[in-house]
This record gives sequence, C-alpha cells and structure tokens, in this order.
Amino acid sequence: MQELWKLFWIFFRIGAFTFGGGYVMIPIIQHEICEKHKLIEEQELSELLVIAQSLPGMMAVNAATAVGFQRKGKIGGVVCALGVALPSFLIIVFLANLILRYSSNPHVMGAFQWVRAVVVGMIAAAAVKMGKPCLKNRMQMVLVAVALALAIVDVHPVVLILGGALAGYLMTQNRRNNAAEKTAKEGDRE
Amino acid sequence: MISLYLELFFVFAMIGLFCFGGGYGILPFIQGEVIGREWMTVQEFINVIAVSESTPGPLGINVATYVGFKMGGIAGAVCSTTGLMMPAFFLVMLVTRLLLTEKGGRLWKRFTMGIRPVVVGLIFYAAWSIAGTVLVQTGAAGIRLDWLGILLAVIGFLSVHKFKLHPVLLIGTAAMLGALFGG
Repeated sequence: MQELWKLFWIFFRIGAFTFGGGYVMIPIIQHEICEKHKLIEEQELSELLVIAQSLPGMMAVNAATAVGFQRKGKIGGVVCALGVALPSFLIIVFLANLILRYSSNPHVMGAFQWVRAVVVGMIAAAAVKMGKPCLKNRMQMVLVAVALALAIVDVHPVVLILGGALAGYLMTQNRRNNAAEKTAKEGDRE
Repeated sequence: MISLYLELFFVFAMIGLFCFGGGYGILPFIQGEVIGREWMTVQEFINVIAVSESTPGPLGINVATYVGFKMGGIAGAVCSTTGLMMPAFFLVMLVTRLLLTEKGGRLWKRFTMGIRPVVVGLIFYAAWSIAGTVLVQTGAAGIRLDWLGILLAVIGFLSVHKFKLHPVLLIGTAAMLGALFGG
C-alpha cells in the first residue's frame, strides 16, 4: 500500500511538472525511478521505456503503466497511469471552463488568433522533425509518399496504419532474404 | 446523453489504439473523428494544442479532456480520457513481457518499421490541411490569404526548427502581442 501511494505520487508529480510530453519525461522518470527510489534497475527501465515509446497511445501513460505493472501488477498499472494523467485532466477541465466562457472576448480572440498561426508553424516543424529519420531509407520514403497520397483521397488513417504495419513486415522479410542471398553468394565466391 | 458518453469513450478508444509516434500522433484522427462530428472546430483544436504546449501533460490527454468536457461536462471528460487511455493500458500490460523477448521484440520492430513512415505521411497531410484552414480564407470573394498569419507561422516554424526556442515562450509572446494588436 505504501509503495502504491509512493508510485502514484511520483507519477503525479511527473505529470504535473513536465512540459512538452513524453520525450522530456524520460530523463525525469529515470531519475525518479532508478536513482532516487531504486524501484527498477536502469537497464530494465530503459527497455520498458523503449517499448512504451513504440506502442500506440500516450508515451507518458504507457511508461507509467509499464513501471506500475512491473512493480505492483495490475493495480500498480492503474495507479501509475491515473497518477500521470490526472494533473493534465484537472488543468484542462479548469482551463476549458475559462476558454469556453471567455472565447468571445476580443482580446482573448486576438490572442488565440496570433497563437494559432504560430502553432501552425510549430506543427510543421514537428512534422519535419518526425519525417527526417525516414529519409535514410528508400522504402520508408516511399511509404511516406504513399500514405500522404492515400490520406489526400480520404482513406481512413486506421486502414493506412494497419497497411503500414503489414508493409513493414513484408519489406523487412525481403531485406532479410536479400541479406541471406548476399552472404550465400559471398560464400560461393570464397 | 448515455449514447454521447459511449460515443466519446469509443471514438477516443479508437484513437488511443491507433495513435503512434508521440504527441502529434493524434493529429490524423482529429479531422475525421472529432471535427467531422462537430465536437469542435479546427480553430478550437489548435487553441487546445497551444494550451497543451503551455501546460504540463500529454497532448492527447488534453484534447480528449477538452472535447469530453465541452460536450458532456466532467462525466464526458472522464469518458473520453479513460477511453483514450484504455487500449494502450491493456496493451502495455499484455504485451510488454512478449516484447521483452528477443523474438517478440524483433517482430514488433518489423511492424513499426512500416507504421512510422505512414504516420509521418498522415501527419504531413494533417499539418497541411490545418495550415490551409487557418491561413487561407475561402469566401464568396474567392480565396484570401492571411498574410499576417503566414508570417507568424513562418516565425513559429523557424523558432522551433532552427532556433530551438521553447514553445511556452513562443506561445506566451504571441498571445500577449495578439491580445494587444490582434482581433
């Protein structure tokens, strides 16, 4: 019980004080869980964090669930996930109230109008940053283009993501065969 | 009313199951699932992104909470936010052990090799259509570009992409100037 409370409190604080989402949280989770409270070995935690990042959903929630589950089973998972999500939930309920009430105030409207334009630029910057790693691999570049084209003609994102998973499975299979052939040929030459 | 709560829960559960690639992973779903249902406008959605970038916590949670609260009060916010969290929550508990094995990890990596570029393509499209809605007005008089908006967007892009300025600083400055000179 005491550890559950401790886990809740750790993740509540992480949820309440880290701006900028999952990636900012990683070093803080490592510090709190490994160094300060010594709940999980560093090696194991970094493996959990890699999984949390690759699964769908909010990375922070996934990481919290994984840590809680590892320490205290299902209840631990629930407690940590709630802990990390609760601060944003409360903050947004509070702010949504204000936004919905004052959204017709001319100063608020002006502020949001300027902010929206800036945010459009920020989204573009994030998209470019996400796209960069795909430039290294020709197959991935093709997939980016195909997904973009199919999104334009209104194919549902879920279909595209499932298709992407299948394409990823198939294209790595090919590459592995190529690699196997290559080593086989090299073997022949020797 | 009950059907609204269920709809909030299941729409956000679907988003939670398929949003990959971090905070902006929900972007591809907003146009079809949330704006298409008239739960909010594109402008409102970007306002929430701005608020989310200036407050702690993940973007997805913030969007789900805002939409749920707007449509169905506190109960609505609880439905949409738990809906968003539920799939990943079970996935993490079910598959973590599997993914920690060498074979499971390798298999999952092959899937994500294809998922990641698809998500990038989807986010490019979402970003493009959002930019169009915010910066271009189509009315009876034809297409009109919002030049101030385009300038601000370029500033926003460069500040993050080139100068690594903190989003909170950028949004705070834009909000203050906008409150004074905008509207």
